[in-house]
Amino acid sequence: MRMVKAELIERYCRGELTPDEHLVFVQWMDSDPALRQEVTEYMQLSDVFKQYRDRNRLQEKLNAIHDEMETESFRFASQMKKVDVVNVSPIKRIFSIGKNQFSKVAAAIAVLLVAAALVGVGINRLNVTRSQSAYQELRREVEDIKRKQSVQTAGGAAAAPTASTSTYTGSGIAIDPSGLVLTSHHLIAGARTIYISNQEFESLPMELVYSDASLDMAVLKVVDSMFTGFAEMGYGFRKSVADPGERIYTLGYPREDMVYGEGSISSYTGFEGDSASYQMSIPVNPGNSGGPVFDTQGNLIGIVSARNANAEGASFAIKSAAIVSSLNASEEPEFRVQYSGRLRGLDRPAQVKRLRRHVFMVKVSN
Amino acid sequence: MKQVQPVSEPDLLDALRRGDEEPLRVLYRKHYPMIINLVVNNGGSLQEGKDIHQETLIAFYERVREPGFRLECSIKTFLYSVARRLWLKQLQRRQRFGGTLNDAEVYVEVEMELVERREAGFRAMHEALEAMGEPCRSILKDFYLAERSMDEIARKFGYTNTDNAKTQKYKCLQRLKKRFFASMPGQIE
Repeated sequence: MRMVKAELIERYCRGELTPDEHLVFVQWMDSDPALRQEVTEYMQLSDVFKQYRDRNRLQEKLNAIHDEMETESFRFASQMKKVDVVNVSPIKRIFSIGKNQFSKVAAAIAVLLVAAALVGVGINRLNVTRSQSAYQELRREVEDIKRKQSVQTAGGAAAAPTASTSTYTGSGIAIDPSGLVLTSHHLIAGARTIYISNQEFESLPMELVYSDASLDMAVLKVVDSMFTGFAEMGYGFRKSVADPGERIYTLGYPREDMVYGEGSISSYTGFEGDSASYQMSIPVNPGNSGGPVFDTQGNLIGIVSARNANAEGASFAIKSAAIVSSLNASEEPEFRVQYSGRLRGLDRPAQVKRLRRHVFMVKVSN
Repeated sequence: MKQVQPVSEPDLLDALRRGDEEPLRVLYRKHYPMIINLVVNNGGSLQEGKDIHQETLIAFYERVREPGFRLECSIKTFLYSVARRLWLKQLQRRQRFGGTLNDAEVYVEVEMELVERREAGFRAMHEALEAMGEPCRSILKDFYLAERSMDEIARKFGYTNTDNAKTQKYKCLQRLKKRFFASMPGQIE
């Protein structure tokens, strides 16, 4: 009975035999070298299993330490950016030429270089010029669209838009029930009035409370006296970095109704190696700017910023870690960053149903 | 954020020996730049640097906890030496080694035999497990790695009773054993 034997070996090695069984088993082992050999092998295998377990656990711990360190280096970078912009660039320049000419000045410069690598976020961002034609920000010009529609539907007879102002729309996500909404800086830059709306709120006036142009993020606050707060959020920022291959989804307002889109993270870095954003493979359109990107468990991993006009299916999102550290480094707005929420058990439609109350169209006139 | 008090190296080693893993956090952050630097200046990427750094700390942690282990140099030198050795090995394995390493730190010869043997065991196990078909791979992982009960496993895989699941598990284990020992010659004492 082979299986009984295998079970006995296992129970012997785990010390699970009864005293009587133990006696019999030991005697059996003494008389059967083949059995003894099998026991030895089981012990070895069991040791390796244990090492494997320990090793995986340790690896997870180190990864957590790493993520924590990375998050803090974001914060460090955004503080540094404000204080010491001028000194940063030369370091970067050395870094790019220096890789092979290192040995002489190595010891001293090396440390600086690694510091540069660590705070790469801030540095890269400074060098990203957004004017390149490939980088297309995703605010939607409303007047433009209106005009086209009127031409199509009424053959040009409809009243032409009279407003001399231009109106843009984008998307935003609530980050605090008190009325804070996160969106893109490029959307609200130069705005005279900002309103948000969704199925629940017809039109809420907003004011700008914080913006970080280099990170292309901004935080708005509801200024309506009748406003009593958003519903409980249930979601939060994700602390760890999302990995290429992870499934993600966006919610946003590329048109009058909220649109769901899904795809995946395709790179740790965004446009031209910008380390504060991800590259994603997900359909985004004008109007998606500032809209949230969620992982499968409904944690906020970033906000949509732009797409590459020259490359099919390459869009970008600012990482939540960078957003959080920018917020942490600023004095306004004062609020507590909420981390991963309670949507993980829900399936996608249920998550979206919960989230849609907190996703807004952001309308800007300037 | 938690403030980390500076700790003397002997205290730190003692804590690690007791199984306290907190010092790993301090060591990880403190020596990350050094190891990244080593790897990046010798033909590696940031990601490879991160991997080497983690492998180094794991090896260090395992060595420190070996009975009778004594550290003859500073932790920093030891970590650098281990990382250097690991990276050198990887370069050689991939035939990317140009003959010399750019060193920015002093290093010592480190005894790596046990670490390397353990690593070999780890790899052999990983490969043996991944080479298994289903449901064997999942059953073995659930029982021996995730330490789930056989009742739970029987339910999960739809066995009519726990004994059937057990029989299947032992069959799987037998197969795993064959694969594992076949790729680990000389390990059977």
